[in-house]
Amino acid sequence: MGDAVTDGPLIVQSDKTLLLETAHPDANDCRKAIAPFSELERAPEHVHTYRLTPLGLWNARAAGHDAEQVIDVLLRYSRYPVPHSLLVDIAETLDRYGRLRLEKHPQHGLVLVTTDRPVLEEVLRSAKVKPMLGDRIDDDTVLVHPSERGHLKQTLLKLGWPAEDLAGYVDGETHKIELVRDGWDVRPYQQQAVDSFWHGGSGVVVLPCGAGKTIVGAAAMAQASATTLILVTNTVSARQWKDELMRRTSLTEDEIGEYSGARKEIRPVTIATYQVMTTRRKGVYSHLELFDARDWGLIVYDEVHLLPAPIFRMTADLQTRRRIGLTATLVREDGREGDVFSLIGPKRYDAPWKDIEAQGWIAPADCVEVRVDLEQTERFVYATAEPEDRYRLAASTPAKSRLVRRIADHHAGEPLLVIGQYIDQLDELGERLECPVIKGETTVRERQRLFDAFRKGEIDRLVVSKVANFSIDLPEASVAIQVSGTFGSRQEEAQRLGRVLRPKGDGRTARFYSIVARDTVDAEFAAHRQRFLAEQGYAYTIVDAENLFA
Amino acid sequence: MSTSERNRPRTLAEALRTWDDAALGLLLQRRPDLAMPIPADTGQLAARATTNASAARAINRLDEFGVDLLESLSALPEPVNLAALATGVAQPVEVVRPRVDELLKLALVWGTEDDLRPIRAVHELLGPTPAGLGPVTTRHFGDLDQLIEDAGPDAREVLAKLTWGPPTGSVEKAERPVTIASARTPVERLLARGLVVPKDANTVVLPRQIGLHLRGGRVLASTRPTPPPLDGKTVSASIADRAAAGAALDLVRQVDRALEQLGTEPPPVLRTGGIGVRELRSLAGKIGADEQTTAAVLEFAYAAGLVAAAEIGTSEFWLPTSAYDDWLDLNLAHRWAQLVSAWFTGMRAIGLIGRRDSGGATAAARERLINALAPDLERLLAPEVRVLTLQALSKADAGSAPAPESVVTWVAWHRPRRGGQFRDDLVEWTITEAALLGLTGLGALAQHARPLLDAEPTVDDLAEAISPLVPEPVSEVLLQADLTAVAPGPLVRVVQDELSAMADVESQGGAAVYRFSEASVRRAFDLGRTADQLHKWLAEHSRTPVPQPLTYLIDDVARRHGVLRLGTASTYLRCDDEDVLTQLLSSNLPGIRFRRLAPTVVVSPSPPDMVLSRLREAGLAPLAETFDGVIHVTSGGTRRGDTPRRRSSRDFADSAVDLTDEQVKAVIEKVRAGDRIAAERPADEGLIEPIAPAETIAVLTNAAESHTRTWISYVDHNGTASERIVEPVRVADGWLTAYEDTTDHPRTYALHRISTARVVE
Repeated sequence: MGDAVTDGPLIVQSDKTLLLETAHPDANDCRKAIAPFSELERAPEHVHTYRLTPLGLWNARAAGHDAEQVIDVLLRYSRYPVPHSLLVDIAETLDRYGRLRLEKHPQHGLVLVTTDRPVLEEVLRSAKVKPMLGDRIDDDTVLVHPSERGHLKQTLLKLGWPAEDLAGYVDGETHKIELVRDGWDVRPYQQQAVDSFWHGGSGVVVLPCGAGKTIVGAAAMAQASATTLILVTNTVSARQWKDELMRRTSLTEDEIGEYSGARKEIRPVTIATYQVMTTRRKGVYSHLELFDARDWGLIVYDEVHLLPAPIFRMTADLQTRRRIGLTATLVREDGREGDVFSLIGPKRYDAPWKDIEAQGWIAPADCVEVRVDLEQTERFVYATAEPEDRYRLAASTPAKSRLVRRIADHHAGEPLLVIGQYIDQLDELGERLECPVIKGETTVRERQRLFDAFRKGEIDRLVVSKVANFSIDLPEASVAIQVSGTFGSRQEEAQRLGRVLRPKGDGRTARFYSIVARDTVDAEFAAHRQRFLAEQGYAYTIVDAENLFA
Repeated sequence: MSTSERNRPRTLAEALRTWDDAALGLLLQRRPDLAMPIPADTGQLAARATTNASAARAINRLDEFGVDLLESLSALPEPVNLAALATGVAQPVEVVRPRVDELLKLALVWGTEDDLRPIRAVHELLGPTPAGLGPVTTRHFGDLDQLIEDAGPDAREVLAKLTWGPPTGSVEKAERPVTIASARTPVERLLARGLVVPKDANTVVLPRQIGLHLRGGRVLASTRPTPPPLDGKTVSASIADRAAAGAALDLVRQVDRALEQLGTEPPPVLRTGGIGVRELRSLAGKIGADEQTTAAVLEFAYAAGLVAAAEIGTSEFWLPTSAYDDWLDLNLAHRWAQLVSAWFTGMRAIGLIGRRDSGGATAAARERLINALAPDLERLLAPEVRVLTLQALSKADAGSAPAPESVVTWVAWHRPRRGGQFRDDLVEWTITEAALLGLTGLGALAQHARPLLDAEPTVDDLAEAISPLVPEPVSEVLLQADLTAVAPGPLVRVVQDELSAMADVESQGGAAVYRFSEASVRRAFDLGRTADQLHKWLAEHSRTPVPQPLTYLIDDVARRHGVLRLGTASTYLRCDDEDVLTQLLSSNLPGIRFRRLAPTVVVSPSPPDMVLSRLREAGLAPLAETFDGVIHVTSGGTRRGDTPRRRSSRDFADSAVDLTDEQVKAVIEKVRAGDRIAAERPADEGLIEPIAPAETIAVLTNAAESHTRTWISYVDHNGTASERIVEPVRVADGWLTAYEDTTDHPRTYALHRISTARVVE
């Protein structure tokens, strides 16, 4: 009993959160040990919070971890006794995955097989499952209509009995793809990611921004050596994929097609945007045929956490094709993590945290929230404004423009981005700072030209709208000022911020300013931003405008 | 009890007289009821020991093999010697001897090894057909084997069926006279030989001698002289201990949170006692546990005297007691120990909650689900089974978690004659409760639970046993830029109270996460803290530097806190000339207090007319104004009433409001119900006299039993008499609960307001 209260770095809470004290000497080992089965929820400076969820546990189960290992890790690192009920709950949850399996039967084709008959009986009683199944072959086996493979998995997951899909895949049309390793090579963790994915069949690879997800995609394609459909978030991203594939693989421009709003090319490797796939004409998805246009051997989903709902529905019908999902986070704003799990597949690889830290994606930026006062007259207008107009009024107060000017002058000569939501305000800022403005209407070509000029240092100030903010080739800067607009998805935005803001040559940290109107809804939004930036581990301070640079 | 052939005792009393003090002492210890009241002599002691009541008490505490021995003794033909008894229970003599010795010491059996006699009460308590053997016949049989052989193979088959099964079989005309010669059927051949005898017109029975002979002298086919094994899975003992301790700490926290919640929003005590299902559900949500666990948490607190029903105003509510405050002052280990020891000895069968009360007095009561904290949950068996269950768990090897089913069989073996299904339920409930209380971890008994099985377990022993597993309280937190404070362990109470004043709990467990928000900081200011105090307190209690955003938040809230002030005053005085007010304040008006809010405004708590007359007396000429600032003219002393508004026809014509569909429906329903009442009013209308209250109650009780619609005449609390058709559900405590025709929900009627009740045919 001497080891009763250990001095571990982890505190296991009864609400299934895990608190990790980062200053503890064992913190890093513990972090590695718990990462396979828990999701990092927030990472402020001293105590990181992880959460145990059924999906997280099933991901671990799919990766070969069993209850004993998980419980052992918790007990080994836990500082205090772990509640009995929690351990029981973990063991029971883990045990639910794989009781049902989808398999290919030599005579009957796709079947659902159980290792635990009562579970099969339970799901057979479900009215939702019934229509997806055919005859019962024996006590433990029941036929599955092949078209329902995806829906069945979705439904079983909702019933709490996630099925392991071992039914295999079609090979698809062979197409030779090789990696061209001229002066670069696949990094060890990237290779591991591809191996785990290939071994698991289908699934999701989680890598932080900038860790080379495209390379993982390319390596997976080379492994499959088959025709590939790549689904990406937007056109800019599609072009980047194309460039990267041409640089890294044996594929030539003729072999890669772009299927977007602008072009509709179907080639052995086709890159399509989510947007075009979800376009509807007269209520029907008009580009569905792309999925059947070729006998695809591999489907790559970029940014799985942004995958729109219609794509999920389409994916449900593609279960015989190998699927790889690439993402920086499994957390979805819409809570559809379960659909990712059942339709794309379980998490097959997660980058070791050490690597992320070493790449310095999180540490450098310093966040400063600057509060400006509305003028007396503005306060009166604000107080009497309709609720829906209040944010715009507060967010675009002239006091902010004056402050942006001050900050820009303070950082004269450093690459600086101004990010905002309201076009009038951005145009005004563009004039005030005498620099170009990129907004939604700016053409892709013009946008790329300006980005290039900014990268080369020909211009050192750029005002961008929220729309432009979403394009992934936003150039790096050492100062960013946000004047209006709220953040989109939590982690993704924070990581993008980390990517845009690189430390300056002299080692000084980059700065992110967000300018907020005091005592307005703007400040309320800012409170959310403060919370998640702090949760992502950014240093965060709040100052009044009059005290800035004082 | 060594006796020789010469002075062999002839009665239990004689036997007892030969016992030494030690043996008698042991008997009184094992059967304490014999000593109360103190018996006058051995004769009385023996008489008391042989009463059914006392014997039953002793037999009920026997284990399965003990009962088997008694049953065999009762079944075997006297005199029974040890060897015959051993054969009877199908065990070797050396197994049987020590157990018989125990029965002798318990005075359930007396005599010697070659003539063992159970006391008469044993025969009566074990019934006329022990071990499924038939009655003894007076008939003498010669060579039984030969007789059976002669009956023929098909008759032997019939005998074989009766041997171990119930000794009776149904036959038509069992009592017809048959002789060996006239016997036709196998049963007749058996009847003719006396191998079966008629029991009544349609039943034959196998006599005991034949049964025993067929069983080869065995009374029972097989017996278990030792308890059944405790099968289960193996777990690591240290992991089990830690898991148990985790549950223990969780429980203490849950009790704390539940009672804090009761203190802020006390739920009412139901009329039937207990706490309402809805209140329990809401409490469960607040403490983040399921309803079953919440009910158990409340019951544990109740057993420890931490919660009780108390009157607030005219109603009763569930409230934490003053013992709860004392409990909070204890350390975690002692808090836990107090809950456990109260539970262990408590009589309440908590597992009954949520079930129907099969022991209820009325049909309605039996229908009702039992609520948490309901009265009448005390069961004698509960503490006894708790001890046995924990003993079973302790008997398993360290680090072995016996399966609940095997614990149930183990306990059943130890108390075969106690409780039946209820005993088995109690075992399972005990296992669940022990896990909740942190006495078991992963199904294995924790080391810190063992003091409970000592002779005299004390709270201190328990607390000491668990304390190595209990985290030390901390008095420092980690403050972070996301406005959270993490307490990396249980907080010292003063620190916890202060932190709770300024931040909200977000996650609880071994540690606690608190979140600061504008609202929580404002709350601290409302409680009288100042910004400086908060800064200072945080700096003192944070292990890390206070993050700048938190400092900013506190200052930001402080900046706005209290900018608006409000208070009450009865009268205000305003005057554009500041000097007039200054003068006024310096002149002491009798009985009037003033406070200057601004240079031109003064307020007073005195009523306006009083201030007005005092000011006039002081020679000033104030002018009263209304709330709107209009000059208030007093009408020279004569009074007038308000003009009443008379209704005109206009009120009923165009301005009439449309009825909603629901309202229309409700009206129709009422009308129809009225029609029904009129139609179903007892025929002797006009002659209905109020009947005697006792009769009313009888009518209603019958109606409740049979769910019959009943016509009642009722006077509500406004004195309005009405007639209703109701379907009574129950009559209790001066109230009738019934469904009214027009509603879906039962309502209650005071019995004394029901003047007449008639069953509607």
